[in-house]
Amino acid sequence: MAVTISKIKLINYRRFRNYCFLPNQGINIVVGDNEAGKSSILEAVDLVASGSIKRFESLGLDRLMNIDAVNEYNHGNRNFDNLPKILIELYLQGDFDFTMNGNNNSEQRICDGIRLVCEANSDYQREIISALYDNPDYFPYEYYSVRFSTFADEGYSGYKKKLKTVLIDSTNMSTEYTTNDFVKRMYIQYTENSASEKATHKSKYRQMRLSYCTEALSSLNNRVPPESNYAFGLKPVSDNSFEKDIMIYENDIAIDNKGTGKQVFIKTDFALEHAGDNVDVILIEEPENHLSQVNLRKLVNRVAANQNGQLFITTHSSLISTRLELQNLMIMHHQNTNNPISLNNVTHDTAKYFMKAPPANIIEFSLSDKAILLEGPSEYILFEKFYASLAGHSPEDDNIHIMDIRGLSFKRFLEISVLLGNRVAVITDNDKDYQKNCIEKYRDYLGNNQIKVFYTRNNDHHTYEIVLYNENQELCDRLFGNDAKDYMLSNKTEASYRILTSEEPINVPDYIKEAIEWIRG
Amino acid sequence: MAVAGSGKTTYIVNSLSEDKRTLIVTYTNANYRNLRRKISVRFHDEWPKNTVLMTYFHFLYSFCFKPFLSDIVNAKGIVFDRDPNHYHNYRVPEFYMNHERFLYSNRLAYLIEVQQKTEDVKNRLKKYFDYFIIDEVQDISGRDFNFLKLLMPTAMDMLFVGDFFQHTFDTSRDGSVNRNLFQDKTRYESYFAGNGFIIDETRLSDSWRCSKSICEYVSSNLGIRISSNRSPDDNTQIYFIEDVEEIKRILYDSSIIKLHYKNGAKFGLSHKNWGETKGEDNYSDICVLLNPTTMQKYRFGRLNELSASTKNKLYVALTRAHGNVFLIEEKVAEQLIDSI
Repeated sequence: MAVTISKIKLINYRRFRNYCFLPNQGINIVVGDNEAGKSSILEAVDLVASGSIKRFESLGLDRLMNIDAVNEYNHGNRNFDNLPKILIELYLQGDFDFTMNGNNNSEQRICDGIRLVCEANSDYQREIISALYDNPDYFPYEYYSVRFSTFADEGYSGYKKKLKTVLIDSTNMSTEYTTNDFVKRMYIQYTENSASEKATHKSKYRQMRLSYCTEALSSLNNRVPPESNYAFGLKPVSDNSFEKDIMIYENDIAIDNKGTGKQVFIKTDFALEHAGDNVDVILIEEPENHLSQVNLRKLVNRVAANQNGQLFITTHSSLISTRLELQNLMIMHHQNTNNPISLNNVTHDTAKYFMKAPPANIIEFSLSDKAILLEGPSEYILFEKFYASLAGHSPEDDNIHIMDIRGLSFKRFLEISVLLGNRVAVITDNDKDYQKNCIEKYRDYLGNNQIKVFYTRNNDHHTYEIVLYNENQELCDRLFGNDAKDYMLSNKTEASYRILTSEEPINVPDYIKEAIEWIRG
Repeated sequence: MAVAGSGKTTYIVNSLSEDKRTLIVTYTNANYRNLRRKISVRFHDEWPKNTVLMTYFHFLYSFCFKPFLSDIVNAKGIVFDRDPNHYHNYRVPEFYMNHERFLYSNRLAYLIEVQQKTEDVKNRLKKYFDYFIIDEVQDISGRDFNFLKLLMPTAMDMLFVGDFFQHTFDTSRDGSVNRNLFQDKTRYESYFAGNGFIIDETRLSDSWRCSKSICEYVSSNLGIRISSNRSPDDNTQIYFIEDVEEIKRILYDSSIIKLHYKNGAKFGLSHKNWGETKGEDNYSDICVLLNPTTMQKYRFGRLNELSASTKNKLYVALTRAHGNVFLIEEKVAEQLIDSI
């Protein structure tokens, strides 16, 4: 039975103080802006699975340890027991023996899993305490040690893998190292159950090199004067010579001879080929980086058709996320520090709404720190002009995302926003009853200071067009003639467009002004 | 309940099957190696899948303690300390471990009990195994025996094998806890019977290793009942050797193991202690050296008056022999060894 990850917990790791990720059993598409920690999740999974202390050390403890945890420690009670530790826990599902099962995890729950623990080494307790005492800014990184163990607290290493992962990292694809590493890992996973097969490969490789020296180089060495003790030969075989020399070919062409994009494709394809069998978990980092649209679509189709194994893909591309079904989406937002948002977390109706809505909407909304939700295209057309007239630049410059949400689905977005913690202004018409339509309707969000609804309290000004007309009567009459108000109400978008293209100065309605000021905060 | 050389290990090995997930726990390292070898041989040099073999302290520490208490207790390992501090209250960590955070072997089982992890251990046994075998069960004493009693009701097949009179290890002893456990065989057996065990005294009552006369000697002189499966034609003897030249010959012969009451190791490779040879089965003729106390009892034909622990060790020593047993007075032998 294949192994899957049912929960990932990260404590004091990189930007995460206490993060909990509940992945799907199949595909997980991790979206999030650049600082959200998407790569850290993939890195953490791969690191714990590797059981490699060397890899952990090469990443650098001072970079891996959460800086807030360090600062908090240095400003608090600096005793030995309070020293923060890094914990990465992978809760696993699969058919395991007793060595995987126990309660040595942060939940103290008896279950299967593996973990990385990095904590101050108690053998040096005295040295650490005196170093802490000597220097108030000091943090004892060099006294930390890392270990890998199962939840039964049995140690493991790369030789006794509990979880087989493959990381396809297209961000530094071009380096020789990543290709070697990939080939080596695939080789190890293909030969995992047969130590004797591996030994045979190595021994034949050694013999082949020896026979090359005795046969192919013999006439060369015959020309070396026999009284001298010198001879030509191949470089000595070291333990990893064979692994360095091995390569994967596609139609007789070595994969390292292919372009970076093609390599991403081949590696993913090759890993998927044995997903669920030789590979439990496939981690793919931003595959869009080096792929053309055509190849990306092919890759996505390949992933979508895959039935086995657990997949994690980080991406910025809406092409990837839209093709792979919204249920698989995991949204990481740096405002939300505890767990990613998936559509499984929202109410059934809201989940259904987003499945039907244009998929780009939820991704754009999720990735923004600040968003303004508008009721229709006529507001949307003029909004940038309003904003610029107040701020002097466009909303993008302030990282504010403007969205036109048709069909008055504000509350669907607000439900997501509560989970993400981003700042959202809703600009809405009062439809002749502001008490009912603008206050009571949003009662649930009253206590939330990241969400605010903006409207006008004058019930006669029941739609945007009427407000706009009253604020800019002279301009509207000039543009649309005597029945300007009626024209605007029956030709909403056209009217907005003509006001925009007139390039005349415009008075921003008060409630929109308030909204802009609030969101810029 | 078995006697020495009656084929306990063979019996256990033959009860294994690859379809049955089996955990075998044994007390001594010697017996661990012995079982490991014999199981491999029976399954044609390949370790049978679904079978796990552990020593007792490995079982206690890695199987019972670590999965549920590692993070909570934060210990570094076990220490086999003879006499840890008795004066601490059982609620404080110092009762269970030393300053370097090593757990006292004789209180580890009690710690699991006090931390209320016994049910978790039972569930773990049941979840991963169908069949739980303990060999050398007679060496589980002190607080470990209390823990064993708690495990006995676990709903699974269990086979405990032991020889009451081969109880020689005291690593588990802790003050007065179960001090009198080995005073009375009937009462000892009642702890198992009370937990649903069937006491089988016949299957392993005859020794394949020891000849008729050696079994008779042990039965009548030590009062430990043992009979032989070997035919009367295939007999060996117990000799008391006094002739100095003969003693020298025996001491020189490295194929004859010399079994001391204690400190055998300092005399070299072919010397061991009585109790140390438990579980070993590869000696033909053996030589047992009698220490002053034993010598005195021997002279008066009152070996049965020896203290239980000495008597048990002597029993282990005498029953190692496939062949003959040579008894020599320790004082004489050691003087001769020094002069050589």
